[in-house]
Amino acid sequence: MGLFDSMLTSASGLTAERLRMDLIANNLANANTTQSGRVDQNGRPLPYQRRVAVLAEREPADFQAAFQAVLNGSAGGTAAGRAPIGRGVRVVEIAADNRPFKLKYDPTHPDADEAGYVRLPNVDVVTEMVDLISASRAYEANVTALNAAKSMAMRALEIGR
Amino acid sequence: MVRFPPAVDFLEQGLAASSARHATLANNVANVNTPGFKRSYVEFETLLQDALSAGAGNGLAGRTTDPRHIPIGTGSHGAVPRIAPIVREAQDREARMDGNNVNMEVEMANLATNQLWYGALTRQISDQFARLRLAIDGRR
Repeated sequence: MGLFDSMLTSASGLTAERLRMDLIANNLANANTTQSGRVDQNGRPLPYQRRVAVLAEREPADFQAAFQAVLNGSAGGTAAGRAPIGRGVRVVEIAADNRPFKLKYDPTHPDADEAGYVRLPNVDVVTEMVDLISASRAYEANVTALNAAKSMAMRALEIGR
Repeated sequence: MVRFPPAVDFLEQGLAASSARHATLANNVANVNTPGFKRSYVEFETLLQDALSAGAGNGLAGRTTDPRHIPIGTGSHGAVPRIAPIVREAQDREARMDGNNVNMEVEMANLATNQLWYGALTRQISDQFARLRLAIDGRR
């Protein structure tokens, strides 16, 4: 795998982290939304449900060939522990968080039920902020890796000049 | 047929290893938030060491001037060994709660080190060619 492929790997990381940040921004914006357009089985409006991205490693190209080589031990030397170079990260799905909604007692609210409880989204602002810091830090790290690949390729161009 | 100095052969293999190492580090960094991901690393220096010290006819041999001296090494320099870097997955036991064992600080430090190593290798290769050119041009 050359330097240009590793730039695509870093780009996949940037995409995944940016998607996480978009989801966090959406969660924060809807932290108090009591109507999401959907209704439950009693016909009462459902609040906004927290969304989270599920990440997985992207399968390396010719994974089957590499896997077969490991199985046969034909890769030379000790085949144990040998692994192909991965190709980054991908978002498998944007999943809804199924944890129960928060309940707040407020009989004056238009969306309160008979007992006076309002269902609020299951978004915890502190958790979202921590996830935002983590996604932002990972984004910067991927930018650094991309810049390193770029400068290495530029150095290689200068051989023999 | 032009014969380049054998040093270029070594340096070129180092460049290939450095490029593979960068790809591995970039993959580790991209997957820093993926649950269950295990970081990989590239093994090259140890393989080069083994190939230079062991192996028939390769490597450096200690000079013996007395029959009672214990010989070290296996003889004079032979052909430049070809070493392919090996990518391994690190099964560290210290992992986070989601099973991810990528340590971002270590990966970033290795990224910087690798970048400098790549620059040093390219500089060395350029110097080798510059010496050739000096020999061709002569004194000016």
